Amino acid sequence: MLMKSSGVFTIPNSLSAFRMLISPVVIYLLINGDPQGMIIALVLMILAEISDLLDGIVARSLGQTSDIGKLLDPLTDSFYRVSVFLAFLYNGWIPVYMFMIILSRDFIVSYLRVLSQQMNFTLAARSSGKWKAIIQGIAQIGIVVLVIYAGAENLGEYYILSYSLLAAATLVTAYSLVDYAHSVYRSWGS
Amino acid sequence: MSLIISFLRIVSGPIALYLIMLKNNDMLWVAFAIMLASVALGLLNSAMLSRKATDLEKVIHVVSDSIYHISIFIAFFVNQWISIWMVLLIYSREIMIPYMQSFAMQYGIKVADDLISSRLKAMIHGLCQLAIVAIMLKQLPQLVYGQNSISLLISVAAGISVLSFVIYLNAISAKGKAGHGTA
Repeated sequence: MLMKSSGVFTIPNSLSAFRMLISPVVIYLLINGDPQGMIIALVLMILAEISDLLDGIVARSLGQTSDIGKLLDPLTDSFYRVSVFLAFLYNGWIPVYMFMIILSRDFIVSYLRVLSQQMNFTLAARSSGKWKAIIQGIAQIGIVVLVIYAGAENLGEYYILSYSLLAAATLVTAYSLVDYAHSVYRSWGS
Repeated sequence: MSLIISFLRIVSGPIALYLIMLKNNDMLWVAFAIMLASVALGLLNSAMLSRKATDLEKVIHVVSDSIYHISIFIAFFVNQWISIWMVLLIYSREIMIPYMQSFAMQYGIKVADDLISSRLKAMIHGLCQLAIVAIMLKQLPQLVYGQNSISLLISVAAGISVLSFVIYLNAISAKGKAGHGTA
């Protein structure tokens, strides 16, 4: 009943909200360091990635696309991913500069949206944003798999692999920022 | 001029972050000086923008403020001076506001970037951060008696973030009800 009456509590929006709600749980499990908790965190992270893939598809197939959904999807995506990286930072699994690039990108792109609306055009989702989400998801899950497999104390043995995963995520994130900024600049010029 | 100040503040955040992370008293003094200058520049920029500003200048000012303050909080977090939950709470406010702004603007609702609560939040964050560094300047290399003071200061900073978020939400809701039916 709620789903029909408000248009807010739809299946795709619930999938988006799910990512936001599990973020503190994933943080807790990751910083707690308990091996069983780490496996639960991994399962939740995989579910979060599936929900990210599904929410757009479900919204379109059920005809439940909405303005609030278009807002919730990137917001929850940003909140969830930064939360996981924050837990990584706590555990010393990600260098601070990479974390800051990822965090700054999300702030800047969110305000680019505001700016573009103030200039009377809509900043549409770009493929670089999707790629950023995919690569960040792979990096996050990859690191947790490595920790479960090798143990957090032995993560150093897989330094090149873990660093490469995070570096790839950071580079794609930085590229995505440039791509969005360029898109705004072009729209502004025209 | 405003854009230059904002740019300086964006750059000063990561520099202060790096210096704070070194956990060296001399470097912490340099960080403190940079932070003091950044807070002063932030206030100056706000005053300038309240008189005359373009949309771009206003947005860049808000972005610079967010990135600067979050950088410092991240430095505190990396040094284990503050908890992960406080960082998450402060970050949540910062990331939700622009999305709420975008959403409201789709319905023709525009809430000013320079609400008093937002300015107050920025000022209190700046002061709390300076106070935390000032406490740490006396404490390094080991935190002996300042932990309660730091907890109190960070709670004030997180509290003002939550309050500012609620006020922002109310402003959008009130404008929505007044002129546009629903927010």
